[in-house]
Amino acid sequence: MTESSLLRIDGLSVEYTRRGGSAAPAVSELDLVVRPGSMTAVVGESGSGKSTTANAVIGLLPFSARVAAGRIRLGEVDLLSLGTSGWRGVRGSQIGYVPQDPGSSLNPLQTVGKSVAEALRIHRRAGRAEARAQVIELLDRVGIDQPEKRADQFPHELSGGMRQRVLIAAAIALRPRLLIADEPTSALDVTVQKQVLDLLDELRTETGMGILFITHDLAVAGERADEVVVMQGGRIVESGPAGRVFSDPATDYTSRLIANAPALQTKARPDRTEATTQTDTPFVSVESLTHIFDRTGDQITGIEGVDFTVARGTTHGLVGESGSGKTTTGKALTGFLTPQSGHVRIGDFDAAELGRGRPSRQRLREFRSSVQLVHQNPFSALDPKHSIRSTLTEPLRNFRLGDRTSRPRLVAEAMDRVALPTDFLDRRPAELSGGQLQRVAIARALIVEPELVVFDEAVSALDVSVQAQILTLLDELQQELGLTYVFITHDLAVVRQIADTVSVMSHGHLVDDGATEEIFTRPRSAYTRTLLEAIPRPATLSAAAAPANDRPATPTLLTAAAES
Amino acid sequence: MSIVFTRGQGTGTDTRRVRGGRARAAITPATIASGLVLLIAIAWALFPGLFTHFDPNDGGDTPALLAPSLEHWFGTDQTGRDAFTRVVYGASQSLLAALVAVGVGLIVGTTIGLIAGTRRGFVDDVLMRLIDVLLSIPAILLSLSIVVVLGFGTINAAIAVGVTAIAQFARLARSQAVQINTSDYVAAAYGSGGTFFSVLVRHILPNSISPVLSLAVLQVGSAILQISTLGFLGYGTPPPTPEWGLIIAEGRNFVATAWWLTVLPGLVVMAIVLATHQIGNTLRKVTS
Amino acid sequence: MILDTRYLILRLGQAVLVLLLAFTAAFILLSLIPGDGVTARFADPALGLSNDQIAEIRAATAADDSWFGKYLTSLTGFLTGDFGYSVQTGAAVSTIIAAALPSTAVLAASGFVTALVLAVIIAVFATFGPAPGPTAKVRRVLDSVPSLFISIPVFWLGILLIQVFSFQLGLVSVVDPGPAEALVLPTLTVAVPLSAPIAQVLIRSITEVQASGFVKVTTAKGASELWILVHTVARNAVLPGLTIIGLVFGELVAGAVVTETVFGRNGIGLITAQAVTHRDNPILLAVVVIATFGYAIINLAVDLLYPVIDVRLLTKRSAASAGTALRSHDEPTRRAMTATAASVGVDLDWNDETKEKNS
Repeated sequence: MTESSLLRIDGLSVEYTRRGGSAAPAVSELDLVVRPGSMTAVVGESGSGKSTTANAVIGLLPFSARVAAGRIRLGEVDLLSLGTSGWRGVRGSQIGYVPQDPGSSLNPLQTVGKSVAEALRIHRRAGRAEARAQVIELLDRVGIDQPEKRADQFPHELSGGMRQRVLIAAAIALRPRLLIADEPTSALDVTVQKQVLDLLDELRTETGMGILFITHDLAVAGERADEVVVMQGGRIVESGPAGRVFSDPATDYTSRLIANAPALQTKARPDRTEATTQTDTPFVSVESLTHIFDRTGDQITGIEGVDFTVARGTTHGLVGESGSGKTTTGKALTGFLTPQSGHVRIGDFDAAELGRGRPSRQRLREFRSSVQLVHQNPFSALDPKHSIRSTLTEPLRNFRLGDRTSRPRLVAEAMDRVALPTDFLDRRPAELSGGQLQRVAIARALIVEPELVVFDEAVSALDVSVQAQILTLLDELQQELGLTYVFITHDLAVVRQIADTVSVMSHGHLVDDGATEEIFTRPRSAYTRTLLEAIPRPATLSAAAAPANDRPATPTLLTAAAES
Repeated sequence: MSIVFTRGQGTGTDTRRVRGGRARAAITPATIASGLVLLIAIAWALFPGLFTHFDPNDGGDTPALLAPSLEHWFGTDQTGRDAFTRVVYGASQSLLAALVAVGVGLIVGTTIGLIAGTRRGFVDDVLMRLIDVLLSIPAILLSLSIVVVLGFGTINAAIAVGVTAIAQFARLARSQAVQINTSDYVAAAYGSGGTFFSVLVRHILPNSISPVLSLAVLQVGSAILQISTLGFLGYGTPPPTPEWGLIIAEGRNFVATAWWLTVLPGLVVMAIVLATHQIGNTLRKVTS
Repeated sequence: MILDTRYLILRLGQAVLVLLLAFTAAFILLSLIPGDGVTARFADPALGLSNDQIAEIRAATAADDSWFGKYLTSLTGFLTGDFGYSVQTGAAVSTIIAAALPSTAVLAASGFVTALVLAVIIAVFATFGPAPGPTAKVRRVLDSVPSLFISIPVFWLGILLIQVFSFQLGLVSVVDPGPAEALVLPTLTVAVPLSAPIAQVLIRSITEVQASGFVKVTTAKGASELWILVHTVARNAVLPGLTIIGLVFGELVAGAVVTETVFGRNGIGLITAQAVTHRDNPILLAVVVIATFGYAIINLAVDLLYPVIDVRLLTKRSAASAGTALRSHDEPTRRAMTATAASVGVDLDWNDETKEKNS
């Protein structure tokens, strides 16, 4: 057993010292093994100590952190006993490191070729010309086309997925035995994520290097890793072979995580699509909506010729990866952006006409009160200086709803509706959690009694369990108040759970449109199919779910971080 | 099926603790010392008589150019006046002038910045070009030109220095306003039926003002320096009224024989400027 | 790497516009508002000038033209290098300034270079070395040096230097010094306060770069701290430093005025101070316009140099999506903010919130 381990961590404890002396353990008593040619995934939410673990292995803990106990051995080398120059010998040549954010991890003033060559130059393994040849070979190896040309480009000229490939090329330049990948795909779209994960798989079978994979996404871990370590609050909650952890979670925490995944929840409500498609005039009707910010070749930034309709009282999901134009569509729907052409009919309003010409103040006011927007990030959607009461009273005053005596009652009702206690009213946003803030934002939207509510990624910033609660709440409110929802998201699972109809957007165009189940079971466009296939799913589970073969995939979340 | 954790969510109590902790961490011994220095300076300005029993403008029959002693902390000047007394009495002139200067810069600059940052477009362009012009004339030349027009004197010097500060306040206020104007909660406020003016007053102003106010505190320090420079050059308060720049200018003729007449008042000015910087920096850290 | 000509023309036009507006403002302030300088000066009966003579002077100085006429005369004069005549001595302003300029230029150049060297030394030693350990104390001390330097009254520093180096130690003579000796103390007087904002910005940008993702990646490749400083940090940290260099020009002028007054050096600064004392507005106007011109040229150079060093600005593809377009538009503002912060001498991260959001 010991011979086969490449990296072995025994009883590792890391403490952070704060000013004032108290030490908070970030990691305690962690045991972990990475074997050559295999992948060990460390899974956990923020603050679980997973990144601290990665930093300890490569000796890059922040200065305020201290290893209190334990051993980290790379082969026969005791990493914790290394001095500054000892570490320099290990880093890069023995351990490669792939960071989380490809956007900020490449020197912006250096060509990517130079960045890849850096390790060779630092360790004096190659001269200038020799390094160049190796760089091109490496870029070619990680699947970058035209490596000669790319080597002379700067990071800002490459896409996110390409940058991550460059970083991988740089990390494997000296053929390290161990690769640490710290959330390498969290900032990437789901289709790109799949490509990068495939590359890592290939490299490890080819070179036999071990990978320590840090992630917050249990699905990715389950799909790719041989062993999974689930962390919470600095401790290991559960560890073992990936298949076992998924099929038979030993702890409540892990099983709760699996249970909270939106995709596993069945639709809690009757399908209303049939009932609604019969009505002839849809409530929302978007017709050839076009707003182009920039056009390069046949790629556009913005949206072009978007058409879809939403029946009254139903929920329409608008799905797409970053840059697909879904947010622009949402802005046009809520009248915050005047499109260059097209119509956005909502009831008897045309949101596209509001910004053109001069609508009367009264008209704009009526529109604003019947169409409301809920933002993605609840932390920034509420004015930090205002109490919850003041936040909820503001729309009432602006729209002249109620009067001095009835407003407190209306506010209390709104709080009740989103299931928040009324003693929250005198708090400020900083004193509430993300889920509570999003409830306040929803209450603010609903207090003016709108007919249409547009949710812009309204649950993607929230924890999975909180996400589930909010979605249930929205569903109840819709039935109670007869609201129409447009739900903008990158998250297919959320869409499947809440939407009656779905539009899929890609590069500013609408590529697929129809009833939710239909899109998921019989995707019409190739793009939707790629999207569905790119979703990571734990090998064991998809095997277990194999009988349900008529469905192409179990839809899950695209990565949450892709949008932030 | 997938399980995605999210990052960066503090519960309410956590956030409160962080904020309190930040405030506590910002209050260092240096900050407390700076606070004391400033308090003393303000007390000098308000009640100079409490700190010294000499006359600032009349040395009486005290010998001239006495070295510092327990009786005369900063020694005496060429006419036998107590130098420490003159520094104490000078506080009111210098601090008042600094406040006037910062007030001019703060009010005019912030107004321009807020208008430019919220209206954008043409108004923004015109106002910012004007601010560019203000910035492009070296501050000392601008204030000298204004002093020439307004005439010499403490308040005129203060106004001149204040004009040079307008550009910085305008730039900061604008960038704050732009940042807040594009924030989600301002969009939400418009969505809640807010008009431009109500959103400006209720959301943009309260949220953009605290960095501007910390800049104001920081500017007090540089205003003291600039005003004392004008005083030193002879364009501030006419003698014999004590003013820090003037005191040092007068002591300059005795550099070789009476070092205390320049060194000690200079140290006082430096300590006070340093203290305002420290306090302003602490304020910024606590409020941001 | 060819600069975008449109950018070049736009930036040039902007500089010309600002210069013209600055001239106009200074002209209004120093020429129009004070009113009739000729009458004020020459109508004094003590001078014994006859009415004819006064009329002659009036015609020669265009004192009776409309304000717009005067403005045009003055503007064309400035464009052709004719800055008018000193009210005080009657000599041509251009001659006075030409005589004083070399000495000030030498002082400014030596002061600026010294300040730059000082700033780089302070910044490097305030940020280099591991956080704990023996260097930590040195770093802490050096980190607060800019704050201290900027709080020193320049005139006082000059006097103090004379006091210590000439009278106490007798190292530098102020009575009859050689040309190099005469430059030492004034240079220091200019350089010390000037180095503070530069060091401040450098410390801040070095710290920022050190905390960035790509430095961590490079460290993970096994690079030593020195390697990173030379290969990675230096170039990235120089960018904000470049902007502050453009903006400290004003401080340099202030330093020159005060220093020349303290040391009695004949130069633009001394002339300016005397012009203010004697209300010699033509000289003041010329100095203001020339200094503004200098400021505009330096900042133009910085702005044109910026895209050469920061390759990101050369291609427009970075502005691909609406979001990034907005951010890059605010980049000049951000740079200006850093500079503003530094010019009051403290390390201000006004961008705290945005940074947290992005991280």
